[in-house]
Amino acid sequence: MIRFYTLFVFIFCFIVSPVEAKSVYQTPKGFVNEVFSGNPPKPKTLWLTKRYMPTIKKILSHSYRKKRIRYWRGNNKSVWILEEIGKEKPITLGIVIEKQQIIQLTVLVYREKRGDEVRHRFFTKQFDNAKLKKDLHLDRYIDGISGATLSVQALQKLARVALYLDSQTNE
Amino acid sequence: MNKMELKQVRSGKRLVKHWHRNLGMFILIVVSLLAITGIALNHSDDLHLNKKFVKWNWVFNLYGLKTPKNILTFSLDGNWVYKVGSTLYLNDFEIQHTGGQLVAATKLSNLYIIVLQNDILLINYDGELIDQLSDTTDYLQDIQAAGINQSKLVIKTANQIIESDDEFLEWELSKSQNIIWLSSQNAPAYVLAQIDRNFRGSGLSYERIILDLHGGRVFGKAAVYFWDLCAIGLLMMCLSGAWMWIKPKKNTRQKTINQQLLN
Repeated sequence: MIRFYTLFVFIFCFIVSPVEAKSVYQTPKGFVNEVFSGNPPKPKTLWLTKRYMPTIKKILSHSYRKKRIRYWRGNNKSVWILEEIGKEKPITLGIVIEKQQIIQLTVLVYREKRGDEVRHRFFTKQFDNAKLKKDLHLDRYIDGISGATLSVQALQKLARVALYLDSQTNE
Repeated sequence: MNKMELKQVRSGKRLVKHWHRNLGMFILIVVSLLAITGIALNHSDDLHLNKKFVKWNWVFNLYGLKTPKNILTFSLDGNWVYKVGSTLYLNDFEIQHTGGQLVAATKLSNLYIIVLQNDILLINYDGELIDQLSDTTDYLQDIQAAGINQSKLVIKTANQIIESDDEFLEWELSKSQNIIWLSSQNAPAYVLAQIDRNFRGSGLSYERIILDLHGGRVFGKAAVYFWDLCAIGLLMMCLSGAWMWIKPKKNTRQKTINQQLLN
């Protein structure tokens, strides 16, 4: 009987214990260092002025949370650290763009309770070589993951924002 | 039924009657409270109890809604920055929900700089977020203090003292001896009132208080068990009342038979 109660208490504690959902897979600084092989250029800033805001709003369906975005440009590549809310909390992405196409998309921080399958390479490799069409959509279809629909959408939106901002800053 | 059995039945009835009366007196107040609050809750919508809010301090104190005394406040050109719970405020304006304690706030490069334990927020004068120097970077962990050195932001972490560039993009070790460390200021009464208001939200609705009175929760956890005891008492009263209601009829009939037998 004591064993039964111990098991019950253990299961109860397990069920009610708060879930620490935030997972840092790689720090933005670490990501930038990796992309530029430990020798990153000085970061640049892009102020989201009225010039960019309407397009970003069109892609995200809302304004971007911050007014200033940091990015790094060097070796014909640009690196963007962007955030977008999946369901409730922001997902931080690192996106590398070269010749106006994505060469790497990595989930750096995932804060939602569910849907972190989007961080796996089997999913993010779908973005490799993706380009932005004139209608501001990706030139390919990205297969979703059941149970992570909103996270998948957030990643697609940020990929489009990064490609758009790269095209605007690479003129 | 002989005399002995008859005596036993009578004494049993007296005992139940005695307990019934005492129990009734014991749970009188609680049952009355349950009845009154029950009626009020039944008509909660009609009485708009969920839209009327209590403003009495002693009720807030009873609920443990006493504003903490150690809330740090920083004045930025007459605008006040403070953090209540997980929410950061600029005056009455909610900037955002964020973790970690508020360490310092200052004005630099036409921006408000708000330094939290693991994060630094750059806010414009309208309270809009310009940038958030993420808590996932290596150097902005466990911030203990913030200061100014020749118009540059200085951060003291557990391991080092670092200094930002003008755009808050890059950080380097600070060797300066002339750092002016930022400290909180005492807020005036109207700001303390704002903090109180933001801490308590809209306040407590009458419906919530009546509901808690109904469940006994307003008097603490022990009262909930006392309420349970009273509910059991009420149940016992129902049973004893029913028993006493049924028993006299039987007794009267039995009494007649017994009388005949005795005669």
